[in-house]
Amino acid sequence: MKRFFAIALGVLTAIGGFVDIGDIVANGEAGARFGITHAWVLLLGVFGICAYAEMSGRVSAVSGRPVFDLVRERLGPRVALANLTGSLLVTVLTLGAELGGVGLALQLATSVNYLLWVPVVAFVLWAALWRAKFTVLENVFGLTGLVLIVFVIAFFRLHADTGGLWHQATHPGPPHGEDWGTYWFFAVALFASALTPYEVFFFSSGAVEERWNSRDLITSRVNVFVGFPLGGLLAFAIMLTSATVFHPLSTSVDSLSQVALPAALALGKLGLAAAILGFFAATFGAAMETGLSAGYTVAQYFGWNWGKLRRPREAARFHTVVLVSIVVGVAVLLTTIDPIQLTEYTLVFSAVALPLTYLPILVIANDRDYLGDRVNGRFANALGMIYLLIVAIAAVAAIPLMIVTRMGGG
Amino acid sequence: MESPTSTTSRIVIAAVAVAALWAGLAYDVSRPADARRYQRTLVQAAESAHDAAQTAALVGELELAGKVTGLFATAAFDDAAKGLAGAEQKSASQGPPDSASAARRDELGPLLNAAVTALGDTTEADDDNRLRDGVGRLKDVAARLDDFAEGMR
Repeated sequence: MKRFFAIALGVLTAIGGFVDIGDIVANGEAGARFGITHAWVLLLGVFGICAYAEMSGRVSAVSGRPVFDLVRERLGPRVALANLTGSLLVTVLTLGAELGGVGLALQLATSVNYLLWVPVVAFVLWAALWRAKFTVLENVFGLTGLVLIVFVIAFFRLHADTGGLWHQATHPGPPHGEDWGTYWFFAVALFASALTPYEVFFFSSGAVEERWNSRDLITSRVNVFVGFPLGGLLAFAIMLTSATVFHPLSTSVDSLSQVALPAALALGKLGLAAAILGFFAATFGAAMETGLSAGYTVAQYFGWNWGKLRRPREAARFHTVVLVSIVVGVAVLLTTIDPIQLTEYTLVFSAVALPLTYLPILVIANDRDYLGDRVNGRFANALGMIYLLIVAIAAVAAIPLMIVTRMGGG
Repeated sequence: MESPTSTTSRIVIAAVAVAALWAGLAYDVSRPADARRYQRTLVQAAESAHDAAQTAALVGELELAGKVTGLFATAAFDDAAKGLAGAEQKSASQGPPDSASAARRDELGPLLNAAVTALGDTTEADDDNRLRDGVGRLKDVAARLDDFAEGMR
């Protein structure tokens, strides 16, 4: 029974923890401008993150070591450095975007400018990462993030034109007034939002923090194959509500307040409060994950002590990297760059860095020295290769699409 | 083992490629607008203003219905104001390349001003009647901005 509850809790935190500022922004914007013609991209992204998170979880559970640690050992310091550079840059930028997201959520609740919240949020985040236990942080924010289910309820209360939405979902392509360039730009951003590099590093390091072993493979797989798709459903609900309210008005979404409006429209102040609380939990939880991921990757590359299982004094360099990453994230935001724009840039750079993250995972997951007979089967390898090809195409296309479409402006 | 010369040439080639890309971008961003490009800028400005006005109208309606808090409405109106400021900045960022473009710009200017005034009045409305009036004007100007953008596509 205890094990059942542990698995159920893991699934619930995986659902609530799946959504971050990138998912909120990308799905809200795409739904408003393109309806749900990008639904297939979200589906593709969720399948991809499931495939690679399962590999990461398996690698960590069987070997007892996080993926990044093995990447350096198996592929050498040069390849691992390329991986580290790409993923760290994206992770720190994402951390900045998440901190901005928390500030924006607080602005919606208080009307106090988000920039005034950012240093406060950063301090609270640092204190939480310094003092609080890993499982407490993961469970509190993962479970609170579940209130984003309000968007699923809101969708049903909005009495949407389901026939029209089905038509959009089954007829991918730009609607009137949009072009293929912007359609593909948003497709790449949505795909990157589902496969953000920090997610696999956090999942893999978290498995070590929670002392998973081969017996926990079932927990890992249930988390991945149940929790992540249901988390993807929350992201899809944001796209659906945005498509229902804003697309018929030909109105674009470029602020967090707009993303929350469908919940208020359907459910009033209670719905609005739940949406804001969900944004807060999702972005703060993701800020926690990205902050830790920055520390994990650097510490694992250099072979330092790392993790929340050790006292901060025993993993001083790990905690220093976490602190510096938070400071850099705050500094980026204090340039007054719009957090939504920062999120958009982060998604583009994330797309570029995707192959650097996922190729090494595929290599490690096929190494019998680490995994014995738990290496990838034919199906996992076929799926891994297909996704590697897709992430490579997304990586090559991201920057040209960003330039040609002027960040999706058309 | 690679010779130092080949590594140096690779670095030089990469640096030249990056510099060429950067120069191309700089040229693209700074070259004077032709009529087509200017028209696209005006359409984008009109669309941004339309989005801000339409969203503000929706927020106003929800405030009238008691479905949003005053604090949220203030934050959402601020976002709409930023959107409108961005639209004005966009339309003023380039000069019209010919008289036809100037005429289109002169059509858009009053619409942007009307949106700014309507949003300001809606934000400051201290009773339901003034709020309702502001929402009506925002919807009206949003429709006119949509027509403007549609007519130029």
